[in-house]
Amino acid sequence: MATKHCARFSCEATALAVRHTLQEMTRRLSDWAVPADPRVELAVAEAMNNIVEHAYADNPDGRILLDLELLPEGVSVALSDRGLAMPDGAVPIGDMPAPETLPEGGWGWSLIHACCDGLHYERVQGANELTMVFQRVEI
Amino acid sequence: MEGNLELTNTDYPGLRVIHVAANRIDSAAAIQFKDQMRDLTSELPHRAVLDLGQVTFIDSSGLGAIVASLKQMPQGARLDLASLQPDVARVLRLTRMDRVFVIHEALDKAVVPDGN
Repeated sequence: MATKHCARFSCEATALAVRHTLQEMTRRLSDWAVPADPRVELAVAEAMNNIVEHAYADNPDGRILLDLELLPEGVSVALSDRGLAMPDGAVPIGDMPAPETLPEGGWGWSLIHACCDGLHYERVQGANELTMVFQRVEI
Repeated sequence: MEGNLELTNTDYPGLRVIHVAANRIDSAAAIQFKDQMRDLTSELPHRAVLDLGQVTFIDSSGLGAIVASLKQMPQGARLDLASLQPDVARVLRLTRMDRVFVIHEALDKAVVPDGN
């Protein structure tokens, strides 16, 4: 039985702290010899930016916990925050905005759906728990 | 102090190439990016090409900042993109925003008069 690979990162709800946490996460995956998969950093970035901008919109002191775990079939990233719940109690479907309208945002959830292979959201005792699973890429 | 993003430019006849001297255009860099782009393009009478050769990561905030930069270009001026790294190209493709910009594979292809 191989050693279990998991790591927890605690991140302030600011754009710069999110950047540093993403870089640490990517470095850790590379330390674990996980084949590089750029979808992971992109999806987790979008989810963390959403937390900073929406869940913690009125709470700059909020924190985001990121639990990274190596699974037999890939990687799991669980994000936890104590900000506002998802508006409908569920993850938005995410419609890609029409390019010709020259949107300046609104791609986040669509990108998350496009990048991860499994997505689960739950509101648990005042916390948002979002888990994303990424299957190992073939190299 | 967010971001640490710096834009530099090289001018050619009828063309300004704007180089992004940073690996990331993300949420922490988006506002800085937009502001610097405004400074570099607000008086520009002609085409600009954004050289993304150094950029290895972009998120939707970064993409939004590039679109905002396109929209703040003076009337008649154009903003093209050049030298997209694979992960940046993927974001443009997934969001279908690759349809909005003229994208040059390499900078030397962009640097021809009225090139497209």
